Amino acid sequence: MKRRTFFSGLARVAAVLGLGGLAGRLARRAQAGHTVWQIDPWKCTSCGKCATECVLELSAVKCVQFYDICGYCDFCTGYFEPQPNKLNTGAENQLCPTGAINRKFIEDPYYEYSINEPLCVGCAKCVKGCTLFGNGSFHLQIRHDRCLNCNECSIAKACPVQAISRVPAGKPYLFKTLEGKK
Amino acid sequence: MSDNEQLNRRGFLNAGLLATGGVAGWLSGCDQAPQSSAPKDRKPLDKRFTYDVSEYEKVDPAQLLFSEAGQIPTGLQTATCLAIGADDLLYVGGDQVIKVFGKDGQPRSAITLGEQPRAVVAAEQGRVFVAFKDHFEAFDAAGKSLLKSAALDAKAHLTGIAVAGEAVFVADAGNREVIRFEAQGQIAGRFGKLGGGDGNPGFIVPSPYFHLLAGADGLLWVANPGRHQVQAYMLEGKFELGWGQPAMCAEGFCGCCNPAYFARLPDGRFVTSEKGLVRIKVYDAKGKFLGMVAGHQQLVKHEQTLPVYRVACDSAGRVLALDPTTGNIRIFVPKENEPQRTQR
Repeated sequence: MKRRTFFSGLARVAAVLGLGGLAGRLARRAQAGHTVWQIDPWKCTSCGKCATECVLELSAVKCVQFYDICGYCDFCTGYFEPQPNKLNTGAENQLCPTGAINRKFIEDPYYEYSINEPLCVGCAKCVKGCTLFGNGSFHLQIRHDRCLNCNECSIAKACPVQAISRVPAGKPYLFKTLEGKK
Repeated sequence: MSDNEQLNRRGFLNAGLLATGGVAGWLSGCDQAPQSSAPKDRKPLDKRFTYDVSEYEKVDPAQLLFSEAGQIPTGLQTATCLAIGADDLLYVGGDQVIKVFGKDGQPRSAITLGEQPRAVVAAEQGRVFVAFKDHFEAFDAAGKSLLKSAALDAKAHLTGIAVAGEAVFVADAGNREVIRFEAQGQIAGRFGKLGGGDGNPGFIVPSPYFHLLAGADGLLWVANPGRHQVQAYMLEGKFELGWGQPAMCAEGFCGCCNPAYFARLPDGRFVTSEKGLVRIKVYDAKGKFLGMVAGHQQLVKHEQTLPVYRVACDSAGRVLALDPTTGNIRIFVPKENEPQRTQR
């Protein structure tokens, strides 16, 4: 067999195999409807189990900030200890045990809060603080760049209020909009 | 299959490869294999990861200046507002109606509304002013509509209403300002917007809790929740004074934004209602903390649905608090005169 014949045959095999693979994958998705796991923020009680029940060492659940409903409060109860010494970024004043929340001055008296996701363990401590006193703009979501999308989600099994369910992959996040409130 | 239509080798291999690829693609389209559970040796989170304000939910019994003397069931599914008028008549709004109760708790009359009321205030001559999302309406004692203001912009979210003489003031949480209307319902002025150039500190309203009342002292008292203050303004909108500071302890206003509501006792003392840590407290006329009407553990039955109590005070110095979870008005009387329980 000539080298040219060998390589053209190989290319043909790869092309046909790839075409078949693509068709199979599309057929599978079309048949099943692709879904991913997500947390309903209106049901979540910030119990903290998301941090420890995920199969990943560092949970795929992270706090997210939904800016649309954030009050940009100077005294953010998701960022500060309940009774801080001062309203500044001193470590002793911060609520998050891993320092995963950034505070940035916008204009007097407003501050912007954002999540440093690699540091967030999904414990929901900040979510509870924000929800208890504020608008609840901090809430937990399963981040799909980390989630393995297990057939059976171990966090969903442990969730005490069944806040985790499958949602369409085309709309993988659930935010605290009024439309989503039951 | 005839001899002439024998499958050639190339066609056979193509079909086989296509099928193999299809099966592989189908399988790769599956979700991950089932995972059992998180590793058994994983330790639970320690208390550093737990949000705990339980120590602030407790109330020192020595600070409790009032005790509960009874409840008035209003029958409202969604109770939204509360006010007290002449003869201590109680006006309770919700379910698109204003219900009127006597001070004995007996129902007297009702005003049917076209939409959900957000705030209510009783004025002279039996008039009742009701704020809706973007406008207000006035009714006479018989419930006949006297006046309907023009609707404000789409961002308007009215949460408070007060009447001083012929002027009507509404607190607009959506636009974070107070709007003054003339007797005929035309806008006469606005004030308090942050950076509005009127020399005022600016209202900080992170959530839809923005209350105001007209005091007997001729001042308009407005809650500025983001600044944790109760502030006084001249009726034309000039800032006069403010008191209050952020703190979880009883003396201060808790969380990001409080007080949610407030009222005044006949002697000028303030009664404030907070959300988050649900508590009703008493301050003197200058804003010095005096004690509690009721604390979190007394006011909250279920932690998952934290109520925010509307408060009002009658001429006898009783504090009436509207429980939105039950629709009942809870009556608190000063401990020094803790006589008969009001029951129906």
